[in-house]
Formats: sequence, structure tokens, C-alpha cells
Amino acid sequence: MISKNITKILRALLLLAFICDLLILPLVPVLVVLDGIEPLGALAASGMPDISAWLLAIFLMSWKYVWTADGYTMMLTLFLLFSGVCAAVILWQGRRVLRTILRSEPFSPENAVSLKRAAVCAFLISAAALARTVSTVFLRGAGAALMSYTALFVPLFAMAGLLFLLMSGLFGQATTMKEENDLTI
Amino acid sequence: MAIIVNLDVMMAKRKMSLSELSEKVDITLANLSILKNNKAKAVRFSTLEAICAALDCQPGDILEYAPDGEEI
Repeated sequence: MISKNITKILRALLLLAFICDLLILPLVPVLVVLDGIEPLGALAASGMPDISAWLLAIFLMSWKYVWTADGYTMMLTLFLLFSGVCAAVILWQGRRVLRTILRSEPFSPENAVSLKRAAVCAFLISAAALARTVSTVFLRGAGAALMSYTALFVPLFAMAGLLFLLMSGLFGQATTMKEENDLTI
Repeated sequence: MAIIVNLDVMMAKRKMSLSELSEKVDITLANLSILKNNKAKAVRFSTLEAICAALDCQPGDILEYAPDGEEI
């Protein structure tokens, strides 16, 4: 009973994170151009007239600007968009796993598949981070590249991918054992 | 699976239905059905003992080994 409540809370939090991820994705070019969310917040709080028109203009101009600006801006935008999509997939697979736990069927084959998908996405984020780090080395020098959060994402998400892959294998084994047990009379 | 369960043959000889056997050996109808239809992957000795006691037979009367063509 307690673990089911925790699972429901966790599933709701994952849904919230998933929705936030999808909402932020279209705003990525805006955040890249404005270099963070603070200028947007300041603009929204400024009380200027026609604020929505301004925000729409910034949104549309950002989407145009990031693909024509310098290589660093374009790489950053591409990396954030790609990682955002992969992160959304990871969050959705997490929800699928929690759904099987709520159904009291934790050792089902679909969990092994979900975790494998999450592993692939984690490896993709790690690869994208590596690509961005390498591009930053050429565009801004090794110091800037290696001292960034992106460089940290490379080993972090690679480890996460390995962990998901390991869990996928474990769930696969557990499913086989459960099936054997269920069909042992 | 090369092991065949001939439960229905012995049940017919003893004139016992699946539900009667289920009550006697304390195994659910669903599980007995899995056993009877050769869908089971394993049988516990305790289950075999209970079935043999209920049907008054030997394990060899209900279990048969029939290797299929693919086995080396």
C-alpha cells in the first residue's frame, strides 16, 4: 500500500517533468539567445504594454537567429533540443515502468524494453554532449570546453545508460524466472 | 517439450473430473489445466505426490518421455 502511493507520486512527478520538458523545448532558442531565463522573467515583470506581442516577436526572431548565428550558438541550440527530446523519452519510459508496478506486474517483458530504450537515449545524450564538447574545443578552446557542464554530461549520461542497460538485463532475467515460477505447478 | 503429462488418461481410468482432482490435491483448476495441457515448465515433487495419491498411481503413469525429432 505504501509503495503504491510512492509509485503514484513518483509517476505524477515524472509526468510533470515530462510536460515541463515539452513546454521548454520550443523555448530553447529564446533561452540560448537571451542567455538564460532571467531576462524573460524581467521582461514579463516589467509591466510593459503589449508584452505578449514582444514575447512572440522574441520567440520568432530567436528561432530564426540561432541557425544563422555563430557555430557555438547553433551547436548549443542543437544540443539542448536533441537532449530535451531524449530526456522526454527517458521520462516517458520511466512512467511506463512505474505503470507496471502499479498494475502489480513489475516483472513484465515491457520493462526490459522500456529500460533499454532509456539506455539508448542516455547514450545519445552522452554522445551529443561529447560532440558539443569537441566542437567547443575548436570554437572556444579546450579550457572553456572542459570546464563546462556539458563535459560533465558525457560520463554522467554514459554511466546512466550503462545503469539502465544493466537494469534492463536484470528485469529480463527476473521476467524469465517469474515465468518459470508461474508455470511450475 | 519432450515430457508429456497424461493426466487426462489416468483421470478417465479413475473416473475423476478435473474439479474433483483439484479439490483432492488442493491445486487450483487453472494450474491443473496448465499441467493437463502440457503448458507447465516444471512440477514440484509435492504436487506429483499429491496427484499420485489422489489417482492411486505411479509417476510413470502420468508422465511420459517422448523425444521429438529435433533432439540430438
